[in-house]
Amino acid sequence: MDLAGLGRFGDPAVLILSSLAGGDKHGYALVKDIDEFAGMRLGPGTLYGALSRLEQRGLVEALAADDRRRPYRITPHGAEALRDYLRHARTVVDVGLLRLAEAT
Amino acid sequence: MTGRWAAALITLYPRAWRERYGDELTELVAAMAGDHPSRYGRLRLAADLVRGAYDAHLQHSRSDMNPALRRGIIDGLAISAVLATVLVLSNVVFPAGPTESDNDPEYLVQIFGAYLVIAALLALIGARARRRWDSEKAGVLAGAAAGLVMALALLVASLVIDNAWLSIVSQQHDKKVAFEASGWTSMRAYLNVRTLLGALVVVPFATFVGGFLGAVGGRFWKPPQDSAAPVSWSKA
Repeated sequence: MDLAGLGRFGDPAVLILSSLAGGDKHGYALVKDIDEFAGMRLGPGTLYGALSRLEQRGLVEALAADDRRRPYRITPHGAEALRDYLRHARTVVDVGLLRLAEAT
Repeated sequence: MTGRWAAALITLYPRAWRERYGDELTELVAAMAGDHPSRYGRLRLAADLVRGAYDAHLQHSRSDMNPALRRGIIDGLAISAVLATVLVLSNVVFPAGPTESDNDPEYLVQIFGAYLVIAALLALIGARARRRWDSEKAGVLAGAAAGLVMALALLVASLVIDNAWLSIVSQQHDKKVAFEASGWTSMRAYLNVRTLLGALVVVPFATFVGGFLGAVGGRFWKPPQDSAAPVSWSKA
């Protein structure tokens, strides 16, 4: 699992990859986008802690810097890891909702 | 204004990390500070940066060092910082009265309680390492490293306190009695030699106890049977 072992950066990593799946973004644009679609506002240390780990694992890549802002792009490897993760998560969600419906 | 405190906090990050991400992080903090103009908002940003710096040091520590060992060292340092602060407070800022002994029941209870808390923390460090690296050895290693670091840090803290605040420390009942019975003529020399000789026993003992408690913690808090499936985000 490419997203395994990220510790407290696991959740931010999934959010970042989901955001980058919609297009390349720099740090502030990532924070804004994640806030909009997930309602979570990542702090700067958390965002870059997760980004550095994702870059180290080859799941995102840095593009040429525009002034002091550097956009990031999800790699094919990152897209595959995100897809795998979300499929697992969807299975859990489906099962959970089904069992809740059966219980009520 | 934002640039100044942000730049100060970003210096907490490892140099290699700063060279790669420092400019971007500074830019992001400046942008986010504009969204959080309140003092509370800036405090949250600052706290997140400090925590991020701690994580960056973990990430950028020497890659050839055993990760459980590295974790134990860092946890040991964090606990040592708290213990050193307590030592300064109890010996210098709020010293015991000249007739109060560490053997008084009140202090014995406090000291016993402190040992229990430290033992629990060492077991927790071992348990976490065991769980994270799925190895009994990792728990022992992390606990032993934390015990060793704490013993060394407290040795240094004791030496600093005894030398920097000798006039206060030398008024402590137990130290006065022991010094008078020793026949030594210099309180400073007596305290330093006693501390260093004590360290010869305490440092290896703390390392052994740390490893033992790390192993015990690992036994009680084993890794889950199947940790591969990502059933929640926190397991990613």
